[in-house]
Amino acid sequence: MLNEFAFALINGLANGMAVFLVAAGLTLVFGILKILNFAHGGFFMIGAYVAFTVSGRDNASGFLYLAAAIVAGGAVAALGWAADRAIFRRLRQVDEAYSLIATFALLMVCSGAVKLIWGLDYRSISPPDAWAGAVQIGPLFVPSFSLLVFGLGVVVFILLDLAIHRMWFGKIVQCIAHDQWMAGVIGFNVPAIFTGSVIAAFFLAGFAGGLLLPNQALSPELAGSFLLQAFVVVIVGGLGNIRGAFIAAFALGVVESLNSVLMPTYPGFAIYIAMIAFLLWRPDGLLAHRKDDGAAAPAASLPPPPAIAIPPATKWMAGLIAAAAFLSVPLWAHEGLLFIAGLTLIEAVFALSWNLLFGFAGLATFGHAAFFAVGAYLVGFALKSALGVPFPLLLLMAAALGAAAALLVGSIAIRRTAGIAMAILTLAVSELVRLTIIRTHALGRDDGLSAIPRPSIDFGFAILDLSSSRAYYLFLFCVCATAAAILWALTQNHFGRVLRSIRQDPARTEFLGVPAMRYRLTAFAVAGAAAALAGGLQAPWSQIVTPDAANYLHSTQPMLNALLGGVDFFWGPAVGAVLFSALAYTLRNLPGLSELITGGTLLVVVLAAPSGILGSLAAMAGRRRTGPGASLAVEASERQHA
Amino acid sequence: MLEVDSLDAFYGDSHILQGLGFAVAAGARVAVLGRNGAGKTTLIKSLMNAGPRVAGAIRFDGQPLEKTPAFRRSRLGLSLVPEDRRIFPHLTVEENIAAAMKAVGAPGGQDAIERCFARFPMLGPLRKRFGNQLSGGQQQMLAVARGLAAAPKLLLLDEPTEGLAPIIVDQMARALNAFLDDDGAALLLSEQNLRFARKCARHVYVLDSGRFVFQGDWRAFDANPEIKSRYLAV
Repeated sequence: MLNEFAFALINGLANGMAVFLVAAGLTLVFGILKILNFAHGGFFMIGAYVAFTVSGRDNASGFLYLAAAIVAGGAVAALGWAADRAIFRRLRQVDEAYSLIATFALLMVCSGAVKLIWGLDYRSISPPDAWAGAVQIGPLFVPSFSLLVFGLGVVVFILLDLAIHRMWFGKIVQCIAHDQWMAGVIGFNVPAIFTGSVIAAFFLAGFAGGLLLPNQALSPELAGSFLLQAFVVVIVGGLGNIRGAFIAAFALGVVESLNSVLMPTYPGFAIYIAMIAFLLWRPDGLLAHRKDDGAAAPAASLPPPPAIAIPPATKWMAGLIAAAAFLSVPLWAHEGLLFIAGLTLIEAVFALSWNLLFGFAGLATFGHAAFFAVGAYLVGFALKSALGVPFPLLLLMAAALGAAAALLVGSIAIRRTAGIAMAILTLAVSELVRLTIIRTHALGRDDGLSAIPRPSIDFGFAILDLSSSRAYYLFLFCVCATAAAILWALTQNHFGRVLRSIRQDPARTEFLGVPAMRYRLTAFAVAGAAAALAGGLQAPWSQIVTPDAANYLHSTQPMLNALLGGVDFFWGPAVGAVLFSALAYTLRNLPGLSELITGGTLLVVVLAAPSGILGSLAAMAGRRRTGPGASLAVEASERQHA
Repeated sequence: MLEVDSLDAFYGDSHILQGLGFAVAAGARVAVLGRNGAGKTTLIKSLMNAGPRVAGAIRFDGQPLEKTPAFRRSRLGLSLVPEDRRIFPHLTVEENIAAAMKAVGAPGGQDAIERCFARFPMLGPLRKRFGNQLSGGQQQMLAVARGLAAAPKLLLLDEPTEGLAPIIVDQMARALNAFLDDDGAALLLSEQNLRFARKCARHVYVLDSGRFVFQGDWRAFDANPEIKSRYLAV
């Protein structure tokens, strides 16, 4: 037992240090730019691929291994310089949710580029010869590469800590991180130092990619593999704090090894549970800078809704045309297109439910897919095991379960945390849901539930058979339209107005006597119900449900749709879902290129038109209708967006 | 040394400063007086290009500044001490002063730091304290010391006495004057505290709604009591 534990501890710590190598650059970028950079995983992966190209499959020597890692760091540093000029510079004054989404889009661009350049193959690379064996420590044989990774993590930490806390360069960077304005006024060349430190942080990403190349499956999946754990480490350590990140990485190693010894059948659970518990206890992390220490925090206010609204007649007309178009799909489209149209409807409801939280209640959650998955698995399981529950009741049950789950998550997440901590907390919850599904035999583990039968509904006097895709599509359309209409109605009355004022200023709304927490929880429950309903509709439509339904990538889908369409408009997410599906459908046969274009489009939207397609259309229409004189209001609102 | 001609400054669409023209000669000590909202802080930030959008001509040592960024202006010899102090919390008192010297590439090292402490004796015992461990008065004293550390040709001092005890105000006036006497640096002071302004400045401008409504020495100022009652009295 003791040996087993010692062995697990060594492995855990080696993994912890590997995560630290990735997290070091991530936390530096946050410390400097105040941006939690999703794309870090992408740049880490590019570093690994570059090192692979330099060193080849079999690392002959330790020297080549290190040289390749340094070259990878240099290449990624150059990319970081370009990314800073083109993207990060524009994100400095933007709300944190937008910058999260922008960096997520950049992650898509990275992974698309990797697929185009290096292909989709899995490759495995062995450690350099000198580190390929094992070392005997007492009764244990420890892989020397694990020891190397551990040592590299510690060395990188010591060097960084010295640079940041002992050397003047680090102190100056901290001055800038604390108070850009004052640092510039006393004479520091802030833009140049910014650029220098961003380049250094990106160097670390590429360097880590090169160092951790051996013993990995090198594939386009690599971007995500360390990213979540690195996020955990950065958040638990206190955003932007390198010492905190190191301690957290150490703790992560210990937790993981305890997990693998004490609960070997549930790998990976303990990290997320420990993180959730930790964040509830200290939402700002281990060694966070106190908020009131004189730092000039950038204003985290959301851009105001556009000054000019779309006239109601135009809206109704557009809505009717859209509905007619969707209803007509079974008349002219082939099976494949019909399937996409159905998925689009489901994704639209899913995105509308997410935007009820973001666009109305001001809560950016990153784990919305968990509720979708809950609904999908409930319905999928019930249909597959032919429990005999009527389908409409099943959908209601899915919605109720989604609402209950959302209420539970919401009451934990909203009460204690906000902003990034809440985003990551919800992300962790969804990851737990996914891990649970993967471990549950009844839910088909990794393979999910397949061959789910489509139901028929018995009305007593007639039986509605939904087994044909045309019939199910029409049913799907009716349910989605009803769900969307209910959500819309909710936002048009007192409830919607209160939510919007909470989004603009939670504290002031509470001063007016509004129980903001209760409103936000209600919104959470409604959004969870709608997401679960969307999941429940999807199970018999695709006839398969996989654990990917709860994947964090699926959680980002509604965000992308909402942003593309325009978060300030109720129907924005639905418009975004349609556009996104059309884009994905057009590019479906181009792996790599599709991600590149989708991510690129999203980046352009976030940077150039943060009010989305609808926002830009409304602004354009307003300008044309009212002439140059009256367009001042539009311009003023656009200026505030910029 | 500093020549300003038809200076306009804007925040968004608000036109704050409206066509100001004035000059500060080398070694001169000038106070700009005015009520809250008159535009004193905007004027100081405009000279540094650190906030408002600015139009008009600013020349420093004969050189037009135009779009010169703040950090270059401070390397040319302008130094701004903001009213909200903005001490770096993670640096010690000594490091805050050293940072200001490093920022403009001033030579001197430890000697220069010691000279600075000699001029602000109340900072001496605090030198190893961190910025966030200081009281308001100590922070203000450090802010002024930091502003002077880089040996500027012109110190822009924004309402340094706000919220300070009278005894600290007197100490600050003494330290400031001693420094200006020794180094021959010029001073542009924005103030509401007449007592402090009288101790430090020799020439007075009164600012109201973005325009100068008076300029002259203290004798002229005292000869026109309606200036004080109309533009400065609360």
